[in-house]
Amino acid sequence: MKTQRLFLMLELALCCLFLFPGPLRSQMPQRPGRLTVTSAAPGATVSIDNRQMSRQTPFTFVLSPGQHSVSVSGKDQAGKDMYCTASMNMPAGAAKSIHCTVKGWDPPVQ
Amino acid sequence: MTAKPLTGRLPIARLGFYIVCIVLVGVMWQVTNYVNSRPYPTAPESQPEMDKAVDAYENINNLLITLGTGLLGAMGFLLTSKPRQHYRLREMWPAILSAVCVGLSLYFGYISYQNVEFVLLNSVGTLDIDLVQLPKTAHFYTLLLGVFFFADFVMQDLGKAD
Repeated sequence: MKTQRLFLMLELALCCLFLFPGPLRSQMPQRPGRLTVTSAAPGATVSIDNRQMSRQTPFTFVLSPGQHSVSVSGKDQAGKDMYCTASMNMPAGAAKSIHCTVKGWDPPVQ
Repeated sequence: MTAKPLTGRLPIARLGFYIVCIVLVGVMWQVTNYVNSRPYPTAPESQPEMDKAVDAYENINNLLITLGTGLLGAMGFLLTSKPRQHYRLREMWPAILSAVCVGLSLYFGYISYQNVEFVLLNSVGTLDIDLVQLPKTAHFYTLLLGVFFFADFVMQDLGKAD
């Protein structure tokens, strides 16, 4: 009788475990953010998290929420070298835009 | 030295079953959490490329789910087709492991499907991210492991019949 009760409790615990993880927030991916990267002259190379992206500026990239490192390199219209790098936090579902110039990010990226 | 029939150990086997289930649920919870928190920077692909990727994904996902459920059905048939045959625990291990692997495979199939849906709804624009690729790969390899253990069980079963 005791064993039967133990099994019943275990079955109930299992049902709860199976049913409840699903709707929890950690079991679903968080909404991504969007980062628009522009530069003084179009066609600059963009790297995010040390991965060179397949698209050049201007372009809107999709990023997972969290900390990311972004760098842009290229030449401006006068032929001067342009290099910007920053570490930035992307909140879930947010949209941000950054602009790279010869003098660095404009406005500065926090 | 001979193992006891499975029926003689029923309460212990049942308790073991529940404990293994609880541990498995906990592990899968953590695995899903890990997969869903993987970072991804993406440059969205063009719509025709994305459509082709989703079509290819759907085809392979459907095929793997059909194979997984078919394998579970075949296992059930093998276990119930012979008249009241008592399998010993050591003979049952490959069958148990096969069923667990196929169950995990179906779970990973569901997670990868859920994440593809997420990618489409949020216009992420590519399936080439860990969020989709990790559960997709796990979906295939756990099924492969299930097929291996099922083959082992069938070989044992055939040997017994001889």
